[in-house]
Amino acid sequence: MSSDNLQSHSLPKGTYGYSAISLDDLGASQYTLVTLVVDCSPSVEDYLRQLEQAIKTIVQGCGHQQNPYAENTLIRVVSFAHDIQEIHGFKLPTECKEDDYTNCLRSRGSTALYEASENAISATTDYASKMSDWDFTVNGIVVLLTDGDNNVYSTSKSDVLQASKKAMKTEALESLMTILIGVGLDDYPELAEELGKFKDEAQLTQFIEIGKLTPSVFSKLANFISQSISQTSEALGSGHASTLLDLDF
Amino acid sequence: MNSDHAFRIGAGHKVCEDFAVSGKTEDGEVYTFLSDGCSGSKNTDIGSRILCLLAAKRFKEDNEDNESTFLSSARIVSGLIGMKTHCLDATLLSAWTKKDKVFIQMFGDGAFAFKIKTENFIRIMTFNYAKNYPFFLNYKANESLLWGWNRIKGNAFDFTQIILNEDKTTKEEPLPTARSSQVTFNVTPVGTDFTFNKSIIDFAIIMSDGAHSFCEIQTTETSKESLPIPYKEVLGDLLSFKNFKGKFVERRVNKFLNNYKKRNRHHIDDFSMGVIYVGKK
Repeated sequence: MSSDNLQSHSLPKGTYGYSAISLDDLGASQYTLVTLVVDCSPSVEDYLRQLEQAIKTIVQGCGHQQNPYAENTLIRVVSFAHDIQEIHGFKLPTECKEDDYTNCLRSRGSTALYEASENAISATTDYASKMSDWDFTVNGIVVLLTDGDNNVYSTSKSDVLQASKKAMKTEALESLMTILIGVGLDDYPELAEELGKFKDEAQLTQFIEIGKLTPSVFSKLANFISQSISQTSEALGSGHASTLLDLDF
Repeated sequence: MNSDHAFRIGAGHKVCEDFAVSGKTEDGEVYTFLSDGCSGSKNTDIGSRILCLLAAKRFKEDNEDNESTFLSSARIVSGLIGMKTHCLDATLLSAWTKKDKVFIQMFGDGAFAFKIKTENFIRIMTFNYAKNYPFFLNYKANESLLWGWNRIKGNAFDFTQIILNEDKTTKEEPLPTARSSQVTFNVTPVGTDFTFNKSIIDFAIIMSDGAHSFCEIQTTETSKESLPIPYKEVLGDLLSFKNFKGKFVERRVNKFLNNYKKRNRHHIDDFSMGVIYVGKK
């Protein structure tokens, strides 16, 4: 995907940084930083096209002309397996094209859930800090979608916790919501337990459990994420975090 | 070129009587108008809106009607919505570009500021009336109000030029007495005009007198008191623009107020500010 107009930023920890629109190109007074982090390990291979469709739906919703926050949202999409691939950095959803997400996900081995989580949270904190220095008011939402437990050990739960704590401590971010979504849990009940522990130990905001991925579930999931993003945008400027939504199947 | 504005209600008010607008015309000229309604008159929150919106409409339509016609229009609008003309007892501060000039006009109290491209400081002109009875444009349409205002004793008109350096240090300076080919001005108690050659101006700011009303709450074990924050300190903290893109005044005011809130600082009076940006920083 073309990211020609985005600038690269490095992060203190890890190999991976992030990219984002130049601050010079931002005109609004406040922004919600949205990061979608999608698992691309081999077990989701059968669902990759549905996941891409869900991303399209979410990004389209963010950038829809009737969305009052379309010009106040910057969205970043990341896939992970053994590595982390930034599909695109923080950019206005109105500048994202639907076709750009066709075949954007590619199945790879392993599940670097912790590293991807740490990168997503740290990138949000880092960019928010740079934005705040330029007077922007910023909050954030990170959505982590996975069907497996972490099995890459370059980053620990403790690293994710440190990233969460730093995000909560920084004055640059008015609030940060981190939503962990575990999918396909019917077949692996112990995974729900592991992800629940990860949510607690890394001090993530919310853990959503999804038993099976079906076309209707994908639709509900996209809707849930879109609504969570809207709530976060709506809360911006109030000084408070947004309300947690429930996803009921 | 760009323009933007912000207005915020003060802690001592139930309704925000300040209002501001800004924008760009089809020809690319930029403008901002702000008005601070008199708390002693009724419905001046509406009057300040009428004055600003009408001024913006007149400017966008390139309507060169005179003050008298402008005031008549404002009084007709207020009458149409069931308001008495007292609602127009409000200041009107304006800044706009037209061809190769930048214009600033003030009726009432408040301040305007500008930065000249070749200077590395901001010049702030603050206007006060000793008894806090500013002149309102509306008085020009009502002889008895004008007569009454002229009869107020001790309401001396006074203005100060403050130089605000990049390191936030300040000093006061008199207005230059020698006329320059780049700037012309006319300062009177019933209206002030400044005209600049656009080529020399970086940006121009208009502000209501709410910037004078910032205070800090200080608490001890036995007391809680509100101490005024020096105006020059407020100016230094407020006018540190990071860039001039999009909603740059909204951003600056939000950040400034958030920082002050963390330090138990707030403004009692309503506060408004409009800025036109002409050149590169």
